Amino acid sequence: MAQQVADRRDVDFVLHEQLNIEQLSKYEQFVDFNKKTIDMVVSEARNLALKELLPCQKEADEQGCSFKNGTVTVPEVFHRAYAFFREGEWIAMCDDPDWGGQGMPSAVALAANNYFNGANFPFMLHNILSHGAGKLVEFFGTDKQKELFLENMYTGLWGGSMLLTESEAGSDVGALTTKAVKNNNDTYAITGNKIFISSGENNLVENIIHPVLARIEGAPDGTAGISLFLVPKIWVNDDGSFGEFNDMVCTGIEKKMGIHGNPTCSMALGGKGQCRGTLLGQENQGMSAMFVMMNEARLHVGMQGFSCASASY
Amino acid sequence: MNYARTRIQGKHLLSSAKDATSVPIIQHPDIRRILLTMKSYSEGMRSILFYIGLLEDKVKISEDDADRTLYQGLIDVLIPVAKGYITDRAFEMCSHGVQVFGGYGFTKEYPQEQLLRDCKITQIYEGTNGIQAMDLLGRKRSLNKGQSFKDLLDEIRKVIDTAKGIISFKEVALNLEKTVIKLAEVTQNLGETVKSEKIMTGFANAHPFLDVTGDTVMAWMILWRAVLATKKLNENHTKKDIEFYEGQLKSAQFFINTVLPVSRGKMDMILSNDSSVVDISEAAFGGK
Repeated sequence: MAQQVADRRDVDFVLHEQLNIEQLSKYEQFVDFNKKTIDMVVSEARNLALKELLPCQKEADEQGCSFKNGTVTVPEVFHRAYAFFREGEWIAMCDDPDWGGQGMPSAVALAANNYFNGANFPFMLHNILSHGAGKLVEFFGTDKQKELFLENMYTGLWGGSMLLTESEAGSDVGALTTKAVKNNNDTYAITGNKIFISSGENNLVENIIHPVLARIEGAPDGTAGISLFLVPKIWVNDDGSFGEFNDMVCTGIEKKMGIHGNPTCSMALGGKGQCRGTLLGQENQGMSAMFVMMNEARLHVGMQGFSCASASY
Repeated sequence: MNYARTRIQGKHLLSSAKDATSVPIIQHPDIRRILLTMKSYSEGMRSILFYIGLLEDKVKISEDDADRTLYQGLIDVLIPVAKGYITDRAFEMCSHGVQVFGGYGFTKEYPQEQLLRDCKITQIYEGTNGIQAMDLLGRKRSLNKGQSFKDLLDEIRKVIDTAKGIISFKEVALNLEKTVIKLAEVTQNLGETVKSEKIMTGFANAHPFLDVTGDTVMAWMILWRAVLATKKLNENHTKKDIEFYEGQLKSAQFFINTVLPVSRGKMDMILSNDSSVVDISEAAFGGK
């Protein structure tokens, strides 16, 4: 039987013979991760990838996402895959168990991701974004923000995204014009339009917590004046209950060359002037915050590309 | 791989009999070249990415500030390679995949064309690969006053030194050593170019610089694997393991002997500071 997605022998070679990942179990932080555990994690990931993610890869590509009246539906087959993925607690593999993570070494998570992404990278894009957005909350959130959002994001009950790009601000992110005006309380009124937002709107989860880059009124031009905000799709009250829809609308999804299983959304924030966000981190420190996450994000994109190549071979 | 092993087309190049049977395409030299390309790049990429993962964990558990700085610096320098270089090569590998499938590869009947389509976005989002190249040239090359880039080359030299001690690998190790020396020269030269009035030409070479840095990092990983495989082959192993380790040796021989001469050629190109990219007028691009 031919190896699928990734050659297990090669994965094991790198983890154990080349990098000796087991050495990390000498340290308290990774004490559970001896060879047996590492191998078990990789086997479980491989099983899930081959049994549930790979079989629906083609169907999801053909079905794609659909947009109607501001609502986006993802491929039907993703719901089942997502349920399994959440059950296995795969979203926050390396993160603090206190918040729903598994505390794994990075290299082990990368091995699992080799299988997941090689089997169904459009599906994984949803999860990578939930995790990335959660990580921003973990690093820069106040205790309150962490309490309201973090565990739900790391366990996949709620999703995430990254709202940076605008029609005139892609590589030149400093040119963005989405605005934030301070309200009387701790919130900001956010208005603007974002494009190319992966998972910006979807029916995989009941709420989406969007990290949004915006310029506070009066802040400098360019990247120096950008701040980071948390803008939930449905407002979350202090007691954790849902409030109203947060005046954030998906205005359409792109027809693309690939990754059809992931909706690439255009988002309109504050069309009725009712979109609220809370500051994540410090004012005008939005770009620094993104840079902290950038290494991990870029490493994961490398992993996505590599996984396609690995599956090709 | 499975397809190449089972798909029968064409007679073996060396068979002279008129009624010779057709063979699986894995027996044809051009296909073998494509497959070994895909094999060696997949393996090298895996090593680079998992290695960065290990560095991240080492940062977490280090109690020594100097160690943490070293590891974090290596991560920072390697990230443009992890994203920019790897996704560029990955897209090419997916394209090779279509090629191996032939006509069927172009149809939706096989999953390969989806992999190629899906892979393209990885070169674009999270910072286009042009941006990754600028990051390597403009920021990471001079990170910690250039020390982190030097640390990377030092790590590579450690493996070269070990490999030089293994007779069967001496030539291959020397080949990589020549490449590292040239890369250091290119790094120095580009650093000066971007500080001079030729800065635009310097940045025109940002992507080629990413390419050759990536090639060198890949060769390091692949040679490291081959050195390990050589040690293992001297011990007692199953037939399957022996086949695996021999595959590691061949990947190394292939990559270092066929890719690095091209990389060094590219490095010569960078050193020549050709400015046609910068000098051509917008009108001369034509098409108006």
